Amino acid sequence: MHSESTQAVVYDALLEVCGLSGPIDDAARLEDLGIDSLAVIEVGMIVEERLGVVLDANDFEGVATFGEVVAVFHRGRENDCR
Amino acid sequence: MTVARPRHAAIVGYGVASPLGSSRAEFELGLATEGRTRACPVEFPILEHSQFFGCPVVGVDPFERLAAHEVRRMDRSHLLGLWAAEDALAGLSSVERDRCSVVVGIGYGAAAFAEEQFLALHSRGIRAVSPATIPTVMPNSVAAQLSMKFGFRGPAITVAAACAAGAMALGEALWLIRSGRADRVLAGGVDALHAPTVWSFFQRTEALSKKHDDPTRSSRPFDRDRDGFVLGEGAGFVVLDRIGTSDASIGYLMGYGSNSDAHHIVRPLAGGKGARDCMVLALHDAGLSPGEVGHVNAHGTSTPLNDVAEAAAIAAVFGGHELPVTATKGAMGHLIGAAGAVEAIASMICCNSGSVPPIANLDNVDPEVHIDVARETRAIRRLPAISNSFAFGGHNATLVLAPAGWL
Repeated sequence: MHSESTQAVVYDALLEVCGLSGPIDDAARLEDLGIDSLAVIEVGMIVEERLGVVLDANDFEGVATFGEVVAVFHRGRENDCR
Repeated sequence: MTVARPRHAAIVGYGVASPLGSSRAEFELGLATEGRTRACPVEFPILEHSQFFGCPVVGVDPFERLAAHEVRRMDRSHLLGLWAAEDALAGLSSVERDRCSVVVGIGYGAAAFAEEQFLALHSRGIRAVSPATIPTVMPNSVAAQLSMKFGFRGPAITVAAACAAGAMALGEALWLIRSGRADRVLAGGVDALHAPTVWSFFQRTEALSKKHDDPTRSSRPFDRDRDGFVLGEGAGFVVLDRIGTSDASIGYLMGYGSNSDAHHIVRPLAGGKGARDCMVLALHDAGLSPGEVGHVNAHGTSTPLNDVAEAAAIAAVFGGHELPVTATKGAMGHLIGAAGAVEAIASMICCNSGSVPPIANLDNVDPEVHIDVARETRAIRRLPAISNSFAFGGHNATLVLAPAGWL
């Protein structure tokens, strides 16, 4: 178990980058949330700093929903732990 | 069939972010009453002690108008530009958006944002560099932000011409109206260069005042003891409309002259020949003779070379005509890309008020200056005015402004 949930860290980063508020459904599409390709990278920078997960733009290829973004970071954390 | 188009354009709104204040009321009050330079030491956390003084913008809180995540992705130049542009457009009727344009003058660009990224790269590596850097530091970024913010779908043009950029933006906007390419143009200038790297670049040109002991007396256009300009920051925008749209005019942009010294990258032509020709071009463009001008808002940087060259040029064009000359850089410093726009706005305000303010810190007129520089508030005739801007690069621009009700 991670001490801090990946979902919460990604959610906070999205708040900072995109000014979102309220709960975000896992199925919510990034496009509908106003999250563009630059914002995804900015979110990545913040998450990288807070969780120490290093990911590349390639890791986000085809990612279209909030849940999928969280899953990418989550996998990144698991890989780091091995 | 040719369509006759008016030579002039109506000014229907203005907004500023300036060291004299960032609402119309504060700006107009500061313009009329400030007798010293609004300068102070400027501190940077990365430098041990302040090596700079300048004129910061007062009265802008970006969080008043923008959400934190919007501020995060912008440079200070964007924030000041949006502030002034929003005020310029406040309360105006809407015009078909395909017929609305943006012209932005810029001297340098997003200095502070770029500096943060340089620092990030050098200290923490490429992964620390914001992906929003290019969209923010590209020179057209402010024009793009404004066209998006207001939904203006006509051409969005950026004029890069150092200290003449703001004036050239208004001039080129006049041509968009004249040529029938736009019915409304949001035109102005922006620069926010209070960032240590860019500031040190300016310092090394030896063009900045060294009066650290009393910054409030540092900028003194046409004064004997002037020693350089004082770096300000700011933004100024006007809304120019084709004459005949529904909004009431608060003034007019009548003419525009621009030429190049084609001589030296920083030094003006001796005797101000380029400046003189530029003023003549502007008067001709406006259809005015020198005797029909009521005052001059000089470029007046407070540098040794500019002020004598400009004074010679003004004397050559207007010699024999009683003509008060003011220079607002004494009070607010040099706003670089914003200067020409903010000073054109100041000229229009003076035209409407019937007086020009004294030049700040003008204690002893340079004996080489033979023009009627304003040492106290001066009443002026209700006539058009000219506003000069001359830039590094040898770019010259003169605007001709007229008071409300002139046409």
